[in-house]
Amino acid sequence: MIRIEDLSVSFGDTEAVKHVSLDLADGEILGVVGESGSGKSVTALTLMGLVSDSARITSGRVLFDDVTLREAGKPCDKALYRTYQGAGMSMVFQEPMTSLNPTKRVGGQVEETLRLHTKMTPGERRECVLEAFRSVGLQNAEKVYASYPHQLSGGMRQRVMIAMAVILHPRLIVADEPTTALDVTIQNQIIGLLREINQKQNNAMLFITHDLNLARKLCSRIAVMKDGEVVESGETESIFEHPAEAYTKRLIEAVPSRMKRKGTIASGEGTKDKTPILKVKDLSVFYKDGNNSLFARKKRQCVVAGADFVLYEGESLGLVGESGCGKTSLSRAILGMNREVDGKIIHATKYPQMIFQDPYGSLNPSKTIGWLLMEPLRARAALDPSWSMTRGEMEEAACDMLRKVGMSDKFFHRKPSQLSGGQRQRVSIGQALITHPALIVADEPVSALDVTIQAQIMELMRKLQREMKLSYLFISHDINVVYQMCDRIMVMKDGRIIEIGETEEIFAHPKEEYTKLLLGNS
Amino acid sequence: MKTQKKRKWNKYLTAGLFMTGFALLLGIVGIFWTPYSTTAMSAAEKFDAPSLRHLFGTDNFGRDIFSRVMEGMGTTVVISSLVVLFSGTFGILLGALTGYFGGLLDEIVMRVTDAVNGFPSILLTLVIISILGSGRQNVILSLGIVFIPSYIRIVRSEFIRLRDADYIMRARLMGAGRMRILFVHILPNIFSVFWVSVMIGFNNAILAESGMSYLGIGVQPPDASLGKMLSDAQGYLQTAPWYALAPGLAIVWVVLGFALFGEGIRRQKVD
Amino acid sequence: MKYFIKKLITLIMTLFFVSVAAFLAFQIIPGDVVASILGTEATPEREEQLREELGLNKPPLQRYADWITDLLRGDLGESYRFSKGMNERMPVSELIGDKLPVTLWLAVLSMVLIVAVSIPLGVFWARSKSRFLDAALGVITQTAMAVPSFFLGILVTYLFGILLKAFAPGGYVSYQKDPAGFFQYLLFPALSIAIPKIAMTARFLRNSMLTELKSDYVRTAYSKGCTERRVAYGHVLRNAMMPVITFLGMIIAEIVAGSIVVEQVFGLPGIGRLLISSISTRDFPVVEILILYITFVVIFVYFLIDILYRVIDPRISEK
Repeated sequence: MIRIEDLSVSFGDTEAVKHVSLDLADGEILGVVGESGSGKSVTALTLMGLVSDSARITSGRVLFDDVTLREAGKPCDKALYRTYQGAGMSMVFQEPMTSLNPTKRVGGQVEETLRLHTKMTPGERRECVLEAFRSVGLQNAEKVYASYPHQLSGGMRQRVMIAMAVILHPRLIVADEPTTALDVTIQNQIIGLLREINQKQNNAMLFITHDLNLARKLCSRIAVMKDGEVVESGETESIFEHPAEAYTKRLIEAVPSRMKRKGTIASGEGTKDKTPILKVKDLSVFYKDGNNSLFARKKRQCVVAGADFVLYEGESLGLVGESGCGKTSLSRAILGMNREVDGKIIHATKYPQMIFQDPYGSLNPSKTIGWLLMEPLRARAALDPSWSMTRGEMEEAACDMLRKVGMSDKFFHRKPSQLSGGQRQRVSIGQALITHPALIVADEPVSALDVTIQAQIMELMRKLQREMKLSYLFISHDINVVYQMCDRIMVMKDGRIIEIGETEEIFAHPKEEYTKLLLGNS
Repeated sequence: MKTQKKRKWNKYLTAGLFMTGFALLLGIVGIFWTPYSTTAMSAAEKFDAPSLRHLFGTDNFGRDIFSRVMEGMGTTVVISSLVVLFSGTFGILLGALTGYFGGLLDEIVMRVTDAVNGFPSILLTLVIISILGSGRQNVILSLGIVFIPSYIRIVRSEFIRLRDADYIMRARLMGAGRMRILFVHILPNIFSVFWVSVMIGFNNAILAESGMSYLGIGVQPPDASLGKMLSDAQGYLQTAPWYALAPGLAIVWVVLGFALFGEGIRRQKVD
Repeated sequence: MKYFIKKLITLIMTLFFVSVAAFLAFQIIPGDVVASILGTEATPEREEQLREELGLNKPPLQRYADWITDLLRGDLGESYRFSKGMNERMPVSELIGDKLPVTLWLAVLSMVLIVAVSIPLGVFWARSKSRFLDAALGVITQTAMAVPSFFLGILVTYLFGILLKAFAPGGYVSYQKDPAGFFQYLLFPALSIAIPKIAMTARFLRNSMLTELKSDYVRTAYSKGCTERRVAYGHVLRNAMMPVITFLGMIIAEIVAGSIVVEQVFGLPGIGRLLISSISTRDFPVVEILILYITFVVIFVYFLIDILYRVIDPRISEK
C-alpha cells in the first residue's frame, strides 16, 4: 500500500537519506530502528510531506496506493499532500508537549482535523472528538476537551496526539519515537494503545525508534538504518535471532539486557566486612518553592523522605526510579548542593565528584579540553597546598587522564564543541576522576547517548572502577542499565526508597508491586 | 547530521565594521585636525552648496560643515565610548553578583532596574542633568548612570541561566572559589551576548547624546556636537537643506554601523 | 484577582518611591532657588519673604508631607516662574492643563500608527518567500531604526512641509480652534516618532513568527493538512504576538521620550517642551509634577499590558 522506492534526500551538500526502499501493507507494523542521525526521521517526514523546503529529493519516489506523492526532481505538491495529511495518513510525534499548540484548547486542535477534511456540523465534530478521546482511554473526555496542553500530564497529551492522528481512521500512521519522552510505566500503556488501534482500525503503522526492545515488542518487521541507509530489514524475530550485518549485531549486543550481565562486577562477597564510604541516615530533602521575591511565601516541599542507606567502598549502588521520584534531589543533597535537608549524610572521604547526564551541558564551552582537565587540580591546590603542581605536571596529569578515558593527546587543545557526544562524556568522566575521588555520583550518565556509545561508556566506567577503586552511586531510569552496572539496587518512588537489595535478588524476587511493574515493563 | 562548522565572516559584520571604522576614524582625526578651521567665519562663503571645495557645503557663518561634522563626530565618539565603558563595567559587576547570588541585593537592584527601565531614559537624564548642570562630564556621568540597568539586566539573566548549568555545578564540586566561578567559569560564556548589548549601548549613547545637544542641554560650546548643529540648521532648512542633512546623516551612518555590527556578532554566534 | 491586587500595590509603591525620589532630587541641587528667581532684584529681606511664600523655610520632610497631601487633594502646587495676573503664581494644574492633550494625542496617534502599520508589515514579511523582498525590508528597517527622532522630524518637515507643502512647519493650530487642522498637523510629528518604532516592531514580529514557525506544533498542524495560510493566521500569529505585546508596552516609554524631543522639532506646545523649559529655569514644582505624571502613565500602561497578557496567554493565568 505504501511504497518508498530508492529514496534519497539531501540538505545542501549532506545526504541524510540514501537510496532507502521500504514498503508497508495495511494492518502491518514496520519498525524503523536506528541511532540518532541515521536518517529515520527524515525518511518519515519525507513520506508525510513534512520535510522542510530546504530538503531536495535526489532520487526515488513515494507511493501511496498507486498515487505518486513525491518524486525526485519535482517540488513537493503540497495541495495533493494536504488531501492525505490528517485523513489518509497521520503522524504521532515524540514530544507531545511541544507538538500541541500551547495556547489553544486541545479539543479545538483535534477538531481542526475534522474541520479540514469533513463536512460535519460543529455539534457532530464535537461529539466525534469526544468519542475519539474516549477511545484512546482518556477519562473525563469533556474536561480534556476544554483543557490546554499544559494542564494535562505527558501521557494524556500523547493520548490526545494519538486521538488526533486516528480520528479519521487513516490508512497509515507514522509514529516517530512516540514514547521516548515518557516514563516507563506510561510508555507501556501507549504502546498497548497503539497496538490496539492497529488491530481495530487495521491501519499500516511506521514505527520509528532508537529502542530495539520496543521495536521487538510491537513490530512484525524491522528495518535497521545507519548513516542514511537501510542496512538490514526483515521479520523481527529472524533479525534478532540471526542478524546478518555486523552493525545490527553490535546494536543488539549494545542494548542493555538482563540476559547479558557480564561477570565483571566486583562484589559478591557480601557487604559486611567492607568499609562504608557514604552513610545516609534518615535523610529528608526539601525544595524551596517560589522565587526569592519579598512577597512570595516560601514553601518548603519535601521531595525525599527518610532515605537510609550505606554505600561501601568499591561498590556500585544503583538508584532507579521514574522522573520526579526524587533521585536527582537525593544525589544533589549527598553532594552538598542542596542544604535544605534533615537527617545525616556521612562521607568517609572528601570531595565526591559527579558525572552528568547531558554531555553537552557538562563541559564549559568556552574552555579547551586541557584547561577543563587541569582546572580541578588548580581548584584543589587552592584548597590544599599538598596538591600544588607545576604547569608541566598538571599537563602530564591531564594527558594521562585523557589516555585513561580512551582518548588521544591531540584533543588537549580542542574545544568541547569539536567533540562528539561520546567523546564529551569521556572528557566529563576524566574531569571528575582527575583528583582521584573515592565516590562518584553518576546521574544518568548514559541516558543521552546512542546505544552503541552507551555500551562503550559503561565499559569504560567499569574499567575505571577496577583501576581506581571507585564507588559509584549510579542513578538511572533504565533498570536494564542499572542491572548491568550495579551490585546493589535501590528503587525509589515518590521520594521514598521502597526497596533495596542485591541486584540478582531484586530481579529474581522483587518484593514491592512497583518494582515488579518497573521490571515488567522492560 | 553533524557538519564541520565554518566560521563564516558574515556580511553584517563586514558592513558594520566598515561603517563604524570609518566613523571612528573620522571622529578621532576630527579631534586633532580638520580640513578647515571650525571657527573661522567667512561672510563671502555663506551657505555654499556642497562642492569639492566644501564637501558638505558651508553654514550661515560660512564655516565648513564637513570640518564641523568631523569635530562633532569626535565628541560623539569620545562621549559614547566613555558612557559604554562606565555603564558596561558597572553593569557586568552588578549583573554578575545579583544574577549569581540572588538574595536581598538582587531584590533591591532589580526593583531599581525595573523602575529605571520603565522610565523614559531621556527623562531620567534630564533630571540628572538638571541636578548636576550641563557640560561634557555631566553628560557622560548622567548617561553612564542611566544605561547601567540595561547591562545589568542582560548580564544578570545570563548569569541566572548559567549558574545552574552542569558545568558550573561541577566547578562548585571541584571546590573552585566563588569569584573564580563568577569571572573565570561563567563570564567568558556571556561575552557574545554582552558584545551585542555593547553595540546597542553605543547606539543608545550616541542617540541620547545628540538628542540632548539638540535640546540644548548636552555638551556646551566650545564643544562641538552633531545635535547642536542640527538644531542650528533647522532654521535654515529652506535655504540650506544640506546644513541639516550632513550632521543628521552622520548620526544615521554611525548608528547604523553599530547596529549592523551587533547583528553581525549575534548571527556569528547563532551559526 | 490576588495577582491583580498585588500588582496594584506594587504600582502605588512605585509611584510613592518616584515621588520621594523626584522630591528629594531637587532638594540636593546646588544653588539657591530663591536667589535665582529674584535675580538682580535680590535683597536679603525679599529673599526671606519669598522663601516663606514658597514654603521653603520649613524642613524638607514637612514640605514633602505638605506637597503629597496637597497632591492627593488635587492641588498640584504653583509654578515658581509663571504668574497669573499681577501678583498670583500660576497653578501647575492650569499650566499643564492645555498642554497635556497635545502630548497625549501625539502619543496615541503614534501608537495607532505603529500598531496599524507594523503588524501587517511584520506578518507580510514573515510570510513572504521572495529573497529580494526579505533583503530589501531588512535594509530599510535597519536604516529606519538608525534615524534619531529629531532628525527624522527635520526630514519630515523638509519633505512634507517644504517640498510637498502638505503642512506649514511651525503652523500649529490648537485643537479647540480647529480640530481637523490640529490632527492634520499632529500627523507629521506622530510619523516622526512612529517610523523607527514601526521598523523595530515589524522586525520583532517577523522574527517572532519565524521562530514560532519552527516549533513542533506547526509541524503537527501541517500533518493535519492545514494550509500555510491557516497555519500562519490560525496557529502562529497569536503565539508570535505575545512577545510583541510586551515589546509594544516597552515602546510606550520610548514614545514618551520621543515626544519630548519631537515637540521641540515641530514647535508643539506639549508637556515635553514645558518640561525642558522648566528644567532649564529650575521651576521645580512643575518638573516634579511632570515627572510623576509621566511615570504614572508609563507604569499604568505596563500594568494594562500585564493584565492583557494574562488574558491572552492561558499558560500564565493558570498559576
